[in-house]
Amino acid sequence: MDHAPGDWFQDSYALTSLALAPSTRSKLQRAGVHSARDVLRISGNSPSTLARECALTLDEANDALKAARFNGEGIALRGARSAAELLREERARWSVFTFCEALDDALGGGAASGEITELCGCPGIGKTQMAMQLSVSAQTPRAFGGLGGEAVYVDTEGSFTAERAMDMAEALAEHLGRCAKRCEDEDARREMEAALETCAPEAMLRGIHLFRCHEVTELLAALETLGEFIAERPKVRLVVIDSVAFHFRQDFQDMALRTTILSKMTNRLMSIATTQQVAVVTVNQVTVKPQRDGSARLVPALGESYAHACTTRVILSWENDERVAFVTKSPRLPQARARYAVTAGGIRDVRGSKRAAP
Amino acid sequence: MSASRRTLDRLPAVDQTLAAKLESRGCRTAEDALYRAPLDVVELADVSMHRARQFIISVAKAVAPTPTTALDALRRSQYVPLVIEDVDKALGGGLRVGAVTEVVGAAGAGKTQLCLAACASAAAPARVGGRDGGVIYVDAERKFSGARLAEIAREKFPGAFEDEESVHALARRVHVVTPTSLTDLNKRLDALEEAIIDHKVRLVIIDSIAHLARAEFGREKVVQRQSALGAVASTLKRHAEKHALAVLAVNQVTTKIGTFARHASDGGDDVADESSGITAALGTKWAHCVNTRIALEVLEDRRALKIVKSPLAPLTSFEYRVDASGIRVSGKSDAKDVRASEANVHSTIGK
Repeated sequence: MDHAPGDWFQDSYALTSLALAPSTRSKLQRAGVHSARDVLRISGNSPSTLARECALTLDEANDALKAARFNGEGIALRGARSAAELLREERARWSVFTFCEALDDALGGGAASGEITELCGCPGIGKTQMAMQLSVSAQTPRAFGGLGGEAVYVDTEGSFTAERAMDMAEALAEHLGRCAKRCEDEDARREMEAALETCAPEAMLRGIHLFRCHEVTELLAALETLGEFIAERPKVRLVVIDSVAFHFRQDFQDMALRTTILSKMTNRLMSIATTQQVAVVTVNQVTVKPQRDGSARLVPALGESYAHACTTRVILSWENDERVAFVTKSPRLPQARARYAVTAGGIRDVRGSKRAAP
Repeated sequence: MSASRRTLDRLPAVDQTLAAKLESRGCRTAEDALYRAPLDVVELADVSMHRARQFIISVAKAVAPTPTTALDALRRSQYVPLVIEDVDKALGGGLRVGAVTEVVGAAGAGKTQLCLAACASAAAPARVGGRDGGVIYVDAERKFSGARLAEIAREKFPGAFEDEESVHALARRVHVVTPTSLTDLNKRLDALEEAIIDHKVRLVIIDSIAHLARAEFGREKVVQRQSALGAVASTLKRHAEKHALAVLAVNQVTTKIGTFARHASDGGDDVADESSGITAALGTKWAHCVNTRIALEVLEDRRALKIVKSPLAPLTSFEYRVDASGIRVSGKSDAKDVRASEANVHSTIGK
C-alpha cells in the first residue's frame, strides 16, 4: 500500500475511531471490516469495489474510503498543489504594521500573517485604538510598501468607533501624501500619486468590514462563516477580534463548557490564520488575580489554558504615565518592550524616544 | 430574539431533514448546533462528515451578523449632547448613541446633575436643539428631582421652557423607574424594547449602577455580582445599538483597602501609585464594559471633570462648578494632572 511517510500507524486504527456515520460503520462491521487498513485493502482505491463488498452505496463507500485515509487525497492527486496555493506561498509572509516603529521592531514588523497576535491590557490603555490602527494601516497601498488590503473587524463590545477610524485614515492619507511629495524617484512618485487616489479616507473605511456580535453564538457563527467571507474578498489581510474575552466572561456558568467552546474558537482562528494567510489579532481583557501575600495582580483574562492559544502575546500597560507594550510570548521573538503613544492620528512612537534595550 | 435561542427549524436555508434528526436527539437551537464539533453532529444525526460540516456552516450563515463597513457606521453615528459646549466638543458631540458612557465621582460631585442635563437635552424638542425623544431614568437612589430637571432645562435652553405647558411636555417624556436590585433591573432591561418603541426612547440613564450592585451583592458575592453586571452591560449595549439610543451609567467611588495593582509583566517589585485612596467602584470587568468614562473629582478648592477613557477624545480635564444649569465648565486644566489621575482610575483596583 502506498503511503506518505509518518502516517503508517494510522492504518491500524480501529473502525470506531474513524469519523464515520454510524450506519456506514455498522454496515462495514457487518462485512467484517475492523480497521482502517481493512477498508483500504478491500477497496484497493476503488469506492465501487468497497461498495460492492460491504453493501454500501457509492457515496457511503467514498466517504468511508476518505475517512480511512484520514481525509487524505487518493493517489491520483497526492502531493499535487494548486497554482493558487503556490501563488500564495510566493507572496510569502508579511506583517501589518502598527505605525509605532518601536513596537513594530519588537514584533518583528508588526502583526504577522498566519499567526494570532493577542493584545491585552487594562481598560483605556489603547487596545481598541491599536486594533483600529492595524485595520487602517493594513490598507496602505503597495506603492508605499504596504499591503493594499482590507480588514475584517469582529466587534463584540461595540467599541469600534467609526469617527476614530476616520481620524486615523485621514492621518494616514495625509502622511502618505507627504511621503509621495518627498520621494526623489520620478517613477516611484508617479506610482505613489496614482495609488493615493485609490486610498482616500472614505475608501479606507469602506475596506473595514464590521461584524457586530452580541453573544457567543453570534461570535462562533461569524467565525464559522469568515472563511467563506475572506475567500470572496481576497484582499482581506487582517482579522481583528475585539474582544475575545467580553462574552466568554459572562455568558457561561459552566466552566468546562467555556473551555471547550474557547478552544473550538481558537482552533477556528488558527485555521483562518493559516489557511487564508491573514494576520489574526485578538484583544483580551485583564482580570484581578489575588496573590498569596494578600495583594492582587492584573493578569490576562480567560485563564492559563487559553494562554497557549495565541502565537504572540503583547501586554499593554502603564509605566510612569507612559504607555508601554511588552512582547511576553512569542516563538520567534525575544521578549521586548516598546513605548508607544495614542495621538489624534492614531498609534505612534513616543516623540524623541529611542528603542529600549530588550 | 437572540440568535442563540433560535430553533434550527426556523433558520433559512438549513438542511431540514438533518435539523429534524438533530432535534429528536436534543439539539434544538442554533446555539446547540454551534457549540458542537462536526464529529458530534456526525454521531447524533448519522450522516457523513462532509454533510455535517455543510450543515454547521449553513446554521452559522443563518445566525451570523451581517457585516457592514466602517463607512456605513460613520454615516450612522449620532450623539445626545450634554449641552456643555467644551465637553461635547471633546467627546465628539456628546453621549455616543449605541455606546455606554459612565460618569464616576464621589458623593456630591454632581453626577446626578450631569444626568439631569443629559435627560433635558434628550427630551427637549428638536427646534431648540434637543433630541426630541423619550428618556428612561432608572433612579435606584431615589434622587431624581422633577423641579431640578425643569430648572436645568430652563437654563440650558433659554426661552424654550418659559410656560408650564412646555415644561410638562418635557417631563412627560421622562419615565422614572425605581428597581430595587440588579436582578430586578436586569428583568426590566430585558423587556425594554417595547417601551423603547412606544416612547421613542433616545437615552437610558442608570443612576446608579454601583448602588444596585452593592445593595444586592455583598463582598462575599463578587463573582455573582460581576456576572450580573456583565449581563446588564450586554443588554444595554444590544438595545443601544439596535434602537439608536445612548446609555449613561452612574458609578460611585470606593476606597482602596491596601490592594495594590501590579501588572503581570512588571515583575514583582513595582507597585502602582498609591497616593490616591479613591478609585472607581465595581472593578475592572465593569470598566472594560463602558465605552467612555467621565470622572468628576472634588479636590480641596476646585472640581475637575475629566475624560479618562474614550475611544475618541484624548485625555482632557475641565474645571467645573455646579450651578443652576447643572454643571458649568469654566476652563481646561493642565494635562499632567489628567495623566496622573487616569493612571489612578485604571491601574488600581476597587474592592
